[in-house]
Amino acid sequence: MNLLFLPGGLGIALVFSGYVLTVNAAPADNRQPLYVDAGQCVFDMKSNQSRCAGGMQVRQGSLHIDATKGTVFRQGKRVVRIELHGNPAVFRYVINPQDGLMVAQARYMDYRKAEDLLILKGNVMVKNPTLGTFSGEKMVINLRTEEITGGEGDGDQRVHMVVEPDAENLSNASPADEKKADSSAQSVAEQPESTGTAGKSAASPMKAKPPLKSHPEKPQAMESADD
Amino acid sequence: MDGRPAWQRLLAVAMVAALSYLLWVINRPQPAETRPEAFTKGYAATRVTGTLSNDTGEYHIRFQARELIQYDHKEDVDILAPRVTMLEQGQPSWRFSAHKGVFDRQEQNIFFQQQVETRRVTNNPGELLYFSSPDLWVDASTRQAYTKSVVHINAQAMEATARGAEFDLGNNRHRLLSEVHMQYQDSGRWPSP
Repeated sequence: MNLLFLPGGLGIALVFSGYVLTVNAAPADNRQPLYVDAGQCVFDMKSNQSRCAGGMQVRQGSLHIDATKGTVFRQGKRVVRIELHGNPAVFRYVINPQDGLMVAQARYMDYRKAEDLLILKGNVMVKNPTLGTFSGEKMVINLRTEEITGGEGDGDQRVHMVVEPDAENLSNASPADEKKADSSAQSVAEQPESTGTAGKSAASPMKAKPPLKSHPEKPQAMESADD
Repeated sequence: MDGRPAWQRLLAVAMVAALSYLLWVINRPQPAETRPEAFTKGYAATRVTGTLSNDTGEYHIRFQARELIQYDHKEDVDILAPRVTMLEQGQPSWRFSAHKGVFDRQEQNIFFQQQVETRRVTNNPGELLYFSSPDLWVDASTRQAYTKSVVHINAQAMEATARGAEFDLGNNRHRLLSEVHMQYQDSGRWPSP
């Protein structure tokens, strides 16, 4: 489902599956040194891996990851993959300065750096000022094609989304827009694959969860997200 | 004058001078590296080179030192400016250098002290490794090394520091015990969309 046709600036909670969301992307942080701080590490020269525990932080440019433990995989000189575990692990990244800081959290993260993929599993939540908040059991963020993919369509793999209210858009929104948005949300909720989870999600919208970050929210521009 | 011959007077003066010199030598301040008087030197040698191997010949150690001192009552051998190469069949060698060290002949352990530098010598650039620390304990028989001190590590496109480390030299697998900071010179280019 393409989210771009949904009017931004309306506080709605949606439940759907198998969506692909596009964001603007691609900074050059990958060329900068990558720093890893940890309590302890086992550094295996033969397999070219470093397995760390006791709290682990990864930094590279705007990328900042906090985890309890993880493994850095290299091929030759390049870091190709970082596997992370946490309660939750938190991944902060400025995909594009215009889109602001993306914060993703999950119990397990597989940052496939060489492929620009971030695979998130277990209590996943992704928040971005432009896109809103997503939650589910599994999501994949493709940092190269600028896509967020999630939800396999069954059971716990559903993805939940909240579009944060935007004060400016909210004040300018006409009653007709609100009605249209309500009907869109209702039609999604009434899709056959949507089960009781939908009602549960609507009753406890994601925005009610503790905030993921303290930086100010940017004005939303949902229409540009599909560019 | 007491009427003694001049040669006797000169002899007496010479004896007094010699005795004074001897007392000065005995009582003068000792250099820092000199052992306490209770330690009796068994032997000492300078500009030493040698090779040690275990019973089965699986590995051996080649060493150089500016000075080697062995005390009668100790098994340990003090080494100044040691340069040690640890060799094992079919394995890359490890080279150690330090300002001084102590070698336990029985256990074949070496305790390196002051500006210890360790280098893995191999043609495979991916397995090159260098690390430095203020001290390092090396067990030649098990090819393990250990330090509690801050260690600096350089590998291919990677630097690390940690407080305390255990080095499995045989498997080139190393445990950094605390306060680990690693920096990868990630030369990868951000792929074009």
